[in-house]
Amino acid sequence: MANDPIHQFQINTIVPIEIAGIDFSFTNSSLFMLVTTGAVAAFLVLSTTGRGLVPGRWQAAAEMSYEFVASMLRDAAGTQGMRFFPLVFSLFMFVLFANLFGMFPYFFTVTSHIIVTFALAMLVIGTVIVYGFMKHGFGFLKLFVPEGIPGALVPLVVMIEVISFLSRPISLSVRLFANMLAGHITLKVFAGFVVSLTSLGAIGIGGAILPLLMTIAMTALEFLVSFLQAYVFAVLTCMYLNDALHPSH
Amino acid sequence: MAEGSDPERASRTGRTDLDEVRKRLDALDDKLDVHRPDPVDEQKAKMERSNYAMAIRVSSDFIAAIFVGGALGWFLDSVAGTSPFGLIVLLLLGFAAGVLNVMRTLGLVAMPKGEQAPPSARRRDTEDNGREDG
Repeated sequence: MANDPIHQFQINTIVPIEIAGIDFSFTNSSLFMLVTTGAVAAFLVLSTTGRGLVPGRWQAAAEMSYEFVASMLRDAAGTQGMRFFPLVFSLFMFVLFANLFGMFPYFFTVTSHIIVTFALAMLVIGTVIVYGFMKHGFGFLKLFVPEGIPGALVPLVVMIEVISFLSRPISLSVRLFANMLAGHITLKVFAGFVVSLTSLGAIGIGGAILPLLMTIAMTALEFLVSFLQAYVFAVLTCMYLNDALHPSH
Repeated sequence: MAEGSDPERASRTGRTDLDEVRKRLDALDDKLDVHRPDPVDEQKAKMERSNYAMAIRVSSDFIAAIFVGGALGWFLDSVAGTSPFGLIVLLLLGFAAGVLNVMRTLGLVAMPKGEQAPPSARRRDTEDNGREDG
């Protein structure tokens, strides 16, 4: 059981709730989502209460995260894109904190479940579609018809563009989920080698150093991946939002 | 040649002055260089990070399009009863969309003519640099 690398992703019900035959139970996943949101809110609120003109260490960190996301959004979608800043910033902080919380031993990694990442991706794509139609009406459909295409090719190109557009939420969600899942499984497998090798006596303990070193290296890599995936998620969100703002490719 | 030796001398001394100033500027630049962060090192570190991110992005973009194409074709087949042609055609279209996705991600597909350059042009520029160096 302790060596089962998949066990860490199991959903356990903490408070069973059932409404009209549908399971709404409060699970360990919900708990960690709550903790993640709470930690993000606490970090931002507590670090900015000082409101120093010269920021302290915590305030500097909060300001840095703001600047980071703001410049990312401005680069990808222009100043007009700043109206989506709350969405992008919340997504970035949520994914980042969820990934980093997953790095604590015995903690549950929220983003290692595809349904969570898919819900986040659908939120992004839903925003793009709703805002695109709201702002441009049917002009938003120009997104699928690049200009200067010969008339005979239009149906084919539109089909390809539509598939390309539909693949976005899938690739967005699968990327984050697969990275977190694969990373945590690999970590657990290598850490499991250490435990099973040490039970083999002196030679085993000597041999266990190798997977231990690997585990340490993987841990560092996982921290990098945690940040990187949050970053990639936010960058792509910005780019898709850019399509909603300027649909003529 | 022979005439106007004064202005000539003046220009010569002017040139030496200029050379001296240039030399002093170079020396100062060298001194300053020590304190400047090495742009090559910085860029290398940034690129290594972005290369890894790019590899994941490209592969997932490609696979997702094929997956969506296949799923759409399978769905159409089961609704319209045209099995297996919908699957075949849409899988191929999905493949085309996957290639398009990858080329978009890498910034290889140029924007259509007569369009204003999108604000994301800056992003593509940095990616272009990364590709040349890598």
